[in-house]
Amino acid sequence: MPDEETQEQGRDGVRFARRWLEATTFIELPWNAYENKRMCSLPLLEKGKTKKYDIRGRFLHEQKQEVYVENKAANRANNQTADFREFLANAYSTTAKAWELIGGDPQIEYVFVTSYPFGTLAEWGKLATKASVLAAVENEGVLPEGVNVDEELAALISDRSWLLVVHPKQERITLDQAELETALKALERKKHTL
Amino acid sequence: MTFTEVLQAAQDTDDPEDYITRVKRAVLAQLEALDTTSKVESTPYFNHTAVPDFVVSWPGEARKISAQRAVFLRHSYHTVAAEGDEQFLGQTDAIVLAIQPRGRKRLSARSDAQTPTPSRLLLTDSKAVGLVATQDSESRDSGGETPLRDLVRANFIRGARGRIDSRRAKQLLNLGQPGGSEDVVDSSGLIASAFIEDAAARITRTAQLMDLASKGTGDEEMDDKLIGGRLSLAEMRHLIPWILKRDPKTVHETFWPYLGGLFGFKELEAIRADLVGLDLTHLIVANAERWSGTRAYVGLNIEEVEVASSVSSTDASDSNRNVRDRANEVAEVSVTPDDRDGDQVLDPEGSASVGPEEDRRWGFHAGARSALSVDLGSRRLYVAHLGNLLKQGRPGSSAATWGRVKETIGSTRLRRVYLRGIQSSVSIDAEQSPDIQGRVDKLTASLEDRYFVEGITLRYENPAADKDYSDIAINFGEGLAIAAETASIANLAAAALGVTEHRNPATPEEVARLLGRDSLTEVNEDMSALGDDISRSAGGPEGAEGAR
Repeated sequence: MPDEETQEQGRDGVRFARRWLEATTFIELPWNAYENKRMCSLPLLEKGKTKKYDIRGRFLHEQKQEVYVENKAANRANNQTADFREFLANAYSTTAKAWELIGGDPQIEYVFVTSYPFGTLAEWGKLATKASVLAAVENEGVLPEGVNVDEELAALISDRSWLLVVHPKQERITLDQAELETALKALERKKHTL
Repeated sequence: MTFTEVLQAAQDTDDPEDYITRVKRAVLAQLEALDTTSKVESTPYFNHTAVPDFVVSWPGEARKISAQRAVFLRHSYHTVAAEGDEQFLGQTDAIVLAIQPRGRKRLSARSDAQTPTPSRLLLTDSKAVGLVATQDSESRDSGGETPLRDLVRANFIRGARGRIDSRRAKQLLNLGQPGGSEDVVDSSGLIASAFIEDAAARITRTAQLMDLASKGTGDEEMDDKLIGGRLSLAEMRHLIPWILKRDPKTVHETFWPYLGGLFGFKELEAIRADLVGLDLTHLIVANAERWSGTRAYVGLNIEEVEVASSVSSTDASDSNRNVRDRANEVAEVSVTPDDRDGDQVLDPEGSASVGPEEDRRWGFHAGARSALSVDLGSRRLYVAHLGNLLKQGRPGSSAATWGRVKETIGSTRLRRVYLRGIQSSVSIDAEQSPDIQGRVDKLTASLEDRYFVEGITLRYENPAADKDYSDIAINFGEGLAIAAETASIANLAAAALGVTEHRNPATPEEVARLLGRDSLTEVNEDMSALGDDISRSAGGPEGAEGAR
């Protein structure tokens, strides 16, 4: 597939993911990697390396946690099992690095959005468990030499990692612009930050 | 720094909150500067798919194009294209503003076919907005800033639609500019595609009026296309000064009465601050009978008095006499009733008689007396629609004797008069007596007394206005002529200069020349017809005059 077409497809997936997630009224996602590369990148534990996410924003719950979205516009399983393992490892690595940088819990949530399920049926419920995070960290080799894996952090990442599978038809049952605007006005999700 | 550069600087941060605050602040300032009549409110969202970044509204506007307009910020045309904003927002009248103007090509390739037309959605970018907002200082200083450019600017946020990038913005800004790519009148298609109906009509009308100013009315094909209606104050503010600054020789004489039909004296007065120092003679002269005011006052022409004091008094009176003689000569030219229609007033010779002389130049002055005025020798006549502009005249003016006032009235009909003598008073109303003047003459002659005019109301013929006549009361104490409701500028001028100035009244010819006409003959002729009207309306018992 030519690069441009791949990018086009990726962008369309990002657009859909953003529209759909924002239509839940619980998330806002103003940044995307195509326009705001810096804003969508997080430093990894490995020195000088960063991870670029597709979309960035925040939840509109009380805590207003930061959220980084990885979007897979897949029409077949591809190697999504490996992609998701890398996603978990990166989540661990970026949170650990941010914790180190700010000296506290950065409270970042990570969302993996795909339009095609992957893995075996038996694995499905275990894809984002603490054990899976630990396995991913080890498998992807994200830890610098001499650093041991933090089990508590792995549990935290498991809790903050989302795997969402969305069918393209979901767009037909997503609030449209006018409805969403009305809903958000009524819900006043951002009232506390006004 | 261009608007795009300002935004680039604002974007130069890694902190999301800082980024949003800085970008939104810059956009808000630009929107407010572009349309000073708007109120721009920022929402707590940034680049959200459904909730706008700003809501623009126009408080205090009675006639709104749309009550509010939502503004969605997008990073660039890339985002707009990727988000499908033209599709998702296509049925709204929102504004989608690309912070950076890149990616325009992507848009054309992807979305043209999907764009429902005509959509009220405006898709634009910071470069285009920056261009529209920037006043071209060079052309403004040289007076080359056209009313069209002003209107494009003033209507952009409120009424622009479609895709307006910098190239399109330039086309719109160049409308009516010397060397502009589009012919002003043929540009209605461009205007209609770039503005929603109301705004397009306003801009097209201004384009037509600019064209009409030089070509004049009378071309049937052109006249059919004209958008009539009343001009808004905003339109007037853009158009009228531009026209008045033109060389009058380049303005067709049929244009002035046409223009006068699109607004009234009241509206002209409302924008007087924009007209200070401009020569309104052609406009006033062409509409003096159609336009109405409420008050007139004659004061001193300060500049003239100062000049006169440095010249010998004989010279001054000679020059006054010359003007009067000239006026008398002109007055002898017979005027047929048919000539009373607009053509007579506006034929090239008639216009020429107004002349560029400093006196007989109608205009607004800055300062305490900001009412419309015109100088006649050492006097300055003021006419106002808003009563407050001439609230006070000359307090403590001495009393007017009936003997003297009677002479100034001439054949003008009396409507009401109240005379006070040393021993008795006389008050007569036209409702009570059809022949007031006869009654007053009889009464004053029979009583050995000296009568002062306490109050007098005159009825003037007003053929060009909706109402056939207007009543004007003369307040000698203040030196004011005050219309019962409204009266034409011509009638107010005649009352103030002819009657209020009872000690030294201007001749009817002098008044006529101020109004750009050869004489007041036509007005006098109309007076005879008016007599019948009064007789008919005054059916009450005769003579309720009281003596005490």
